[in-house]
Amino acid sequence: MLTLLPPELQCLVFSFVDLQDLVTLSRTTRQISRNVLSLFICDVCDKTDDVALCGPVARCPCSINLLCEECFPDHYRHMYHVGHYFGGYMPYTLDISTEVINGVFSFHFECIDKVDSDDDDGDDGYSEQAE
Amino acid sequence: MSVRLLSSDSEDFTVAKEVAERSMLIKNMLEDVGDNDNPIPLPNVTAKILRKVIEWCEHHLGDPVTNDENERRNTEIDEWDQKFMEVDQETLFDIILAANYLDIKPLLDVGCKTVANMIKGKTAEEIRKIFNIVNDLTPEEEAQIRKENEWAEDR
Repeated sequence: MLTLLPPELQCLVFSFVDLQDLVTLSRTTRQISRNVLSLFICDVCDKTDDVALCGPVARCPCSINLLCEECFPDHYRHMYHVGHYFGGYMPYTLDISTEVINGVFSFHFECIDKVDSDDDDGDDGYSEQAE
Repeated sequence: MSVRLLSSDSEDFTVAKEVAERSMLIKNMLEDVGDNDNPIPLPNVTAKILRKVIEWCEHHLGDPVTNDENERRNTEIDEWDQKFMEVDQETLFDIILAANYLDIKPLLDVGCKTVANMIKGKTAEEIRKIFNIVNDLTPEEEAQIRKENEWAEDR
C-alpha cells in the first residue's frame, strides 16, 4: 500500500521517521529508495546531490545536520574558527580539501595562517578523516 | 448553517458548515460559489472515507490552528486519533489520500504519522511485509545503497 501513495505523500510520511529508519527504507524498493534520497537535502544550500553528514559537523550546535560536498568546507572552517569542534576559539585560516567517498566526507585541512603564531609557515600538518 | 457534500459513489452528506470548512478545498469552494443548496461533488472520496473524514472534522472542530513546526513534527498521536486510525491499511491510505485532496493538513499529518510509526525501528524486510511490498532491488543494488548510506548507520 505504501508504494501506492504519490511521491510527495511518501516523502511526507518519511519526514516523520528518523535518519536510521530512512536508511532502512532506502533498502526496501527502488521507488522508495529514490524518494528517500530526495529527502537528504543540504542544510545550507538545499542541494540534494553529494549530500552527506560527518561526525564533527553533526556535533556542531548550529543545527546543521546534512551538508553537500560544496558547503562542507565552509561549515567546517566556521566550526573550527568559533571552536564548536575543538572547544575554544582557534584563530587559524584553514585550507580544506574534501571529497565524498561512499557517502562519507573525507577531508584534509592545513592551517595556512595562524594569528600570534611563532610558526611562520602556520602548517601544523594536521589532517583528519571524518568518521 | 449546513452544507451538502456528495461522495464519489453518490451518497449525500449534510454537515455543519464549520465542520466542512476544516477542508480548505471545501472552504474555498464555498467562498467561490456562495450560499446555495447544491451538493458539493467530491469525486475522489467514497462515502465510506467521507464518513470517517467528517467524523474526524467534527471531533477536531474546536482545535486551534498551529503554525508551530516543532509541534507539527512531533510524532506523538493523541489517544482519540490513535483509536480513529485503528483501521485496515487500505482505509488508512484512503484517509491520507482524502485528507490530501480535501486539504485538511492536521488529518493528513495524523495519517502520515500513523504510517511513520508503523515503519519506525523495523527492518527493510519487516517494512516490506507490513506494507505488502515486493523487493525489486537486485542484491547488487542493495549492496550499493548500503554502501552509499553507510555514513548514516548507527547514529
